[in-house]
Amino acid sequence: MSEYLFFSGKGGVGKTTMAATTAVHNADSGKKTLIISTDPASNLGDIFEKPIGHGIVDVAPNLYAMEIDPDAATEDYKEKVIGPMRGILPEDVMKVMEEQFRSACTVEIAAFDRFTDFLTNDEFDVIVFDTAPTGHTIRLLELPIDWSKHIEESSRGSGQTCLGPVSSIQGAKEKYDNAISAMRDAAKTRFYMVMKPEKTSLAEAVRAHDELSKLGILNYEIIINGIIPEDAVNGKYKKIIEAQKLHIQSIGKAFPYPSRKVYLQSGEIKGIENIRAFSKIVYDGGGQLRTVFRQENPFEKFATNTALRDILTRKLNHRVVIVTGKGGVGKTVAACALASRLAKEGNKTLLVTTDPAAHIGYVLDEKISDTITPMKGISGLYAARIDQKKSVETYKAKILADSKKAGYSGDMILALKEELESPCTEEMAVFEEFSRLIGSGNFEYIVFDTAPTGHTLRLLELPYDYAKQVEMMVNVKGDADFTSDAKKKLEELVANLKNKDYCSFLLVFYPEYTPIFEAKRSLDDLKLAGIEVQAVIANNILDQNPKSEFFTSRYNMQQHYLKVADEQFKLPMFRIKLFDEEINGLDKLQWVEEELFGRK
Amino acid sequence: MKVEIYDPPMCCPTGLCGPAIDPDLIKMNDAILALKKQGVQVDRYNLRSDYATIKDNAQVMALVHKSGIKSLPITILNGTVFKSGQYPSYEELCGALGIEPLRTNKPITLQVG
Repeated sequence: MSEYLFFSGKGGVGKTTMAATTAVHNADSGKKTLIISTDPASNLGDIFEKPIGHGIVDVAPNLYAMEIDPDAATEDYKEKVIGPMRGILPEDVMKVMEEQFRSACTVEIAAFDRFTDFLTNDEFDVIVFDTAPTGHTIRLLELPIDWSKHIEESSRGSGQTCLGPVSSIQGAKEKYDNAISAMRDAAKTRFYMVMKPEKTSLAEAVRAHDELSKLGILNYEIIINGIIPEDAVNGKYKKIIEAQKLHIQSIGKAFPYPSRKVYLQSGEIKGIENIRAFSKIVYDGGGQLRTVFRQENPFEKFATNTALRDILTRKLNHRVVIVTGKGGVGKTVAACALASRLAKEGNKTLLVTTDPAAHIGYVLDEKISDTITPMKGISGLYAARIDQKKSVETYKAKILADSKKAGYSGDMILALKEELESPCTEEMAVFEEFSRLIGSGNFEYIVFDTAPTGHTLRLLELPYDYAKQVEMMVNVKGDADFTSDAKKKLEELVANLKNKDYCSFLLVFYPEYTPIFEAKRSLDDLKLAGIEVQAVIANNILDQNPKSEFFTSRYNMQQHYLKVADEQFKLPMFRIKLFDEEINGLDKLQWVEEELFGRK
Repeated sequence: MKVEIYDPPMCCPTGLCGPAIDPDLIKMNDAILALKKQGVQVDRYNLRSDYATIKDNAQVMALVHKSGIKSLPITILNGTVFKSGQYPSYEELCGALGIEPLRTNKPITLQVG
């Protein structure tokens, strides 16, 4: 019988590192172990210092790894469905068929299908899932329940289901049901909730835990990661130590489960030998890894405050600013600081988040809802959250109202309702909302605090695929009229996103190996989509702290990686230093503004 | 009485799940609902998910090979090809099947058309 270990937590808490460490620990105890990443922006390869990709490779004795690449999963899945037709059906039919597999829903379904394959696999003693960021994980986990319900209901009802592609896989329902019961079986499955001793991290974990418990998942273990060792602090960052003590206490109160404290290391954790040493510290107890970064010349090429001003100058009626980056790098704080300063300078500014936990509310210390609301503390600043669940409801209601107006029959509307229950609807709905807000012309600036990179890319990729799909429908029908509106809207949005006079992309990262290379990948992906990122923001920059060996090593590491980042990105780089308090409320947000823009 | 409809590849069995819905597909769906009420057996096949069934239908495969994607949709009435490249209307289908179109309890889109 296989054991399944899931790692859940906000982006940037060290989920992948903890998953890799746990996998190595299990493999070294003689268990045949597989580690799988379902994150679209997986960094397993970076951690093991070996290309992994969409197939099982062996990385150490007893240890195997694989990254579920949604695109490759789609390819596999497409082959499964249309492979048998190739050479039999005419060329133009095959072309239409292939095009259809490029839709966002198919990609999601395909990645998920691959994921459930492993949940019913008994070939390994232990399978470690380095899961995608929490929101995504939950959606993946919710899907099997929704889907098997969906399949059941539609087989009772009209037999209609939007699971077109899934319905062509025999025995899908049984597989999904088995996947769910495996996840609920406490003897087989354990969820590791990884968090940092920080307020937002704990809040996210509580939210994830609530949702998972509702899904019937019972077996948890807590990992508190990135604790700064008390003896490392010498004068500086004392407040962080006090705050983290309180947070560790709250974590203990919030979760009545076994927990493990893991300390921040003075160097980086990379490569199998390093991970092995770290796994001994984590699982057998022990001190610090002895990787110490030596001093180099400090990085001196940060761009000036004026350069940021220039990038943000409004040239048209309004400017869209998209702040992107991996979860946990401080996108939210950066987006809030940008929006707040723009508003203070007299611009009517809208700040939008797609983050389900709406961290902008915590940073601004105000309530964020899914309608555009003026912020009390700063005049001219408005904020809204794209609530996935709610936008799905709005989207459904809109389509149903339109159909009623068009005079469709009751039976028809019932059928439509059922189609709209499909998981694909969510992607479409969020995109609708995204494009509606981006197109809203009432604001001088619209700042997006977007969801993690992979998700952002999917959101951005959607219009292209979507336009293609719409186009295809037109070709099939030979009737250009009925889709032209939808198509025009999409083309306009895509053109706007590519226009530097209209839209600025800023990428936030922190100067460590994995975050830099992840950021580079997403930069390249955006470039492929025709979008040039205009600047990067390095976050959590340490001041020099010569009295502490620990912080000196971390400082040297950052300085080294700032130079690496500069070589990789070749873009103007701005900085936000590490503050010894969490950014919560406008007074503290002011500190960040001053980092980016200088004093007012 | 049996009607078989072979749709072009669509993402879902009715093609009614996108944001902009093709009115032809709605009319077809309503026609099917009405015919079923009248006791006609209607089966619908989507090239994407029902390939296994479709490939064994020589009539359909012949048309698809002859005219490609333009041959779809194909409607077969009691084993004979009735229409190819376009959906038939509800009235057309009733006429060919020799049944009276519904007068009451008829879906609204069919009343308008």
